[in-house]
Amino acid sequence: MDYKKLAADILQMVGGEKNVQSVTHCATRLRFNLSDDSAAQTDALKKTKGVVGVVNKGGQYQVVIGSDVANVYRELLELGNFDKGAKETPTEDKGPVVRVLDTIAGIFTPIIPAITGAGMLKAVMALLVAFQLIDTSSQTYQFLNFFADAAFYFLPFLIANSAAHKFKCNPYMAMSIAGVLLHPTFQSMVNAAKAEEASLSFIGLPVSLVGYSSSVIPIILAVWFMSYVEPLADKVSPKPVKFFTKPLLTLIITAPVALIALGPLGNILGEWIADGINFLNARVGWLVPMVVGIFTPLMVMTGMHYGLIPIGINNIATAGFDTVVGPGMLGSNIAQGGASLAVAVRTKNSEIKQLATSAGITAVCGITEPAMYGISLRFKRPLIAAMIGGGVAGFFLGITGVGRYTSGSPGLLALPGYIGDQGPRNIMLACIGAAIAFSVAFAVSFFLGIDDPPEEGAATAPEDEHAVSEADAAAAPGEANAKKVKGTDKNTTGVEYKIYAPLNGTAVALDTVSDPTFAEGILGQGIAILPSEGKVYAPFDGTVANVFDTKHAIGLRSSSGIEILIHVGIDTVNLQGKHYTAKVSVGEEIRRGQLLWEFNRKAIKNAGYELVTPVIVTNTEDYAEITTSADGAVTVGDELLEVRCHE
Amino acid sequence: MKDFTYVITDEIGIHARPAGQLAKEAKQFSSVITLDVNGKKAEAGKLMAVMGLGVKKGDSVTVTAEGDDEEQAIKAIESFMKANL
Repeated sequence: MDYKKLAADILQMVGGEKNVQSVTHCATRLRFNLSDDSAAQTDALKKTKGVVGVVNKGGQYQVVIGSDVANVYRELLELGNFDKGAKETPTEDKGPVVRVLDTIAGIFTPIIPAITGAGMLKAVMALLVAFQLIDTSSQTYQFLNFFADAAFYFLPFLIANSAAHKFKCNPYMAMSIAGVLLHPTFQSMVNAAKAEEASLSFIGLPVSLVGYSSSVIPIILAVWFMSYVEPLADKVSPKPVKFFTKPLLTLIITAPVALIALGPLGNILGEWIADGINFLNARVGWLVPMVVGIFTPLMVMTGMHYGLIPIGINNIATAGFDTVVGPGMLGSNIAQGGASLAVAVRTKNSEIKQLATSAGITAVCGITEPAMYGISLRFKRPLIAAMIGGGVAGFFLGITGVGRYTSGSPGLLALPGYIGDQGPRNIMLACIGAAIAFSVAFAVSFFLGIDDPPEEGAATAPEDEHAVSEADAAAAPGEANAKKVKGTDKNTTGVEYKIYAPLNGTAVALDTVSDPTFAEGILGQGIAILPSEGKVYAPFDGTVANVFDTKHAIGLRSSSGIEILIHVGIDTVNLQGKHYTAKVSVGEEIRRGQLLWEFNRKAIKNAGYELVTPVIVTNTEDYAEITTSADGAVTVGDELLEVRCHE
Repeated sequence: MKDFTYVITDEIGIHARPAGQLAKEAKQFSSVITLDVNGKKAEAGKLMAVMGLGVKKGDSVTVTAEGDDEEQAIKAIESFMKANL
């Protein structure tokens, strides 16, 4: 794959360098913060080869690439300067919830490699100990132990850096504040005071006896506070001495506030969260893991799982044990993999088989994006299977009280993280939970099968054939420099697709329509319906390609690549959207029979317009033949048109 | 490669009917004809893509043609746009 070109294409489609405030990547996605999300061409991006999907949630514009995302990211960085410190503030006003999620995601995404590395090392060590391959009293073990511990112990440093980027203040100043929290002298003062049951004070103000190693919230609060102190210090500092008064003031104000107020506050918040979780564990232990098990796919899609990750890190840091985030996500991810692999076994389409196999294996190992965007969301039913499997496994792990001792991408590779010092029960139950997740999701997914769009009911269409033509269709629109795409004819010889009536009414031949553009087939072949009701329903499974601003017409693309235009009334563009209500928007996936939009028949008629509604295959030239299969009265869901591919 | 830029004067921009006529015009030629509006591109013969550009009055459209008959194509499209859009 040409990563250079892909990176250039993606950059252009997210609105160019100037629209990108910052970009990071995780295991499979490029995560953009854009100044203006609407400047990005989501549709075109989705169709770009090499892009698996696009998600705009949680304040981030995420382009899903797959496991080779790092290559694209590297090329992307060559193309421009997307450094953190973008001067412009977002033009769009994002809601408070989105802003908080955006902030949490922005703080935790960059540090994930560090804690994953450390977590995995801990897991490997747990394995070595379990199989008695290493002596826990040896120096080698002690070294490894603090290698694995360093990222957690000094977590405030890591967070200080990424939080400073997020809150737009100096990262070195922020890390100095982390240094204040973790300084050995402060630690020993705290320890001494504790030992003597004394107290600490700074200029007469009490300093809480709290240790900040492995803490999460205190440093976030401190850096957030610093982001307000710094500009203030800048403002009050006279220019000639600013170079030292600004950092001096920032440090001398932030450090005490961090130790006296924010640190203890953060510490209390962290304990509250831990207490709340302990309470839940004691009363309804199955609830949280089950909920997490069911909803993780949806949370990952929306970026909400970033709200959970800090809780998991906090649990491990405070209690050494996380029963909330890890087990549920473990179940969910493995279930996602199971669902995908069931698709791989069932499908006859080699392209899908290949994708589902690799995505399934990746998901079982803890990275679910390829499975989620490539399989689950595309075919929907595997997603249901994954949620059921994840829920059942979460319930099991919840009632048995399984927890993880280290963090890491939840999946088979993270299982060693369930080996603790309390004997083999925990890891055994974790393995059983993983097996439950896999088998339930696999079975349900196998039973449900994958989406078989009903418009391809014709006998000549082999199962899953639509997927091949879908790939062809994906290459067609948007990017024009690509060669003239000759439609969907290859690999789909002679296949017939059906289009179902989108409205109730009376079907009439297209050439009876008074507008010659329709009557002469300039827009394509098709049929017209005199509507008896002001409602339009989806004629096939697919996506919304177009919604005109004036809402009098809508363009749809079937999952097999058939493009149709439904144009309600003649000359109704002049109504400027009056009397029409669209229920869907561009890019939305639609299911056959779904209500798409409504119009007021009476009002349009009274305004002097004809209501006849042409239903046109706008890419007629891609097909061998389009025949009408209805005449006279039609109801929604009746067969309306047949589209036959080239032999 | 040939190109020209045209500012749309039609009140309602390129909606379904003009897009269809434009596509019909474009399909007469073997050249690849591309519309470029506000950074979005579409092949003129691809109706759904052209409609997806959402071209409005006042938008500046750059049309390029590339191929054996690019000269004739660009002339035909230019006169079509001047007459209809």
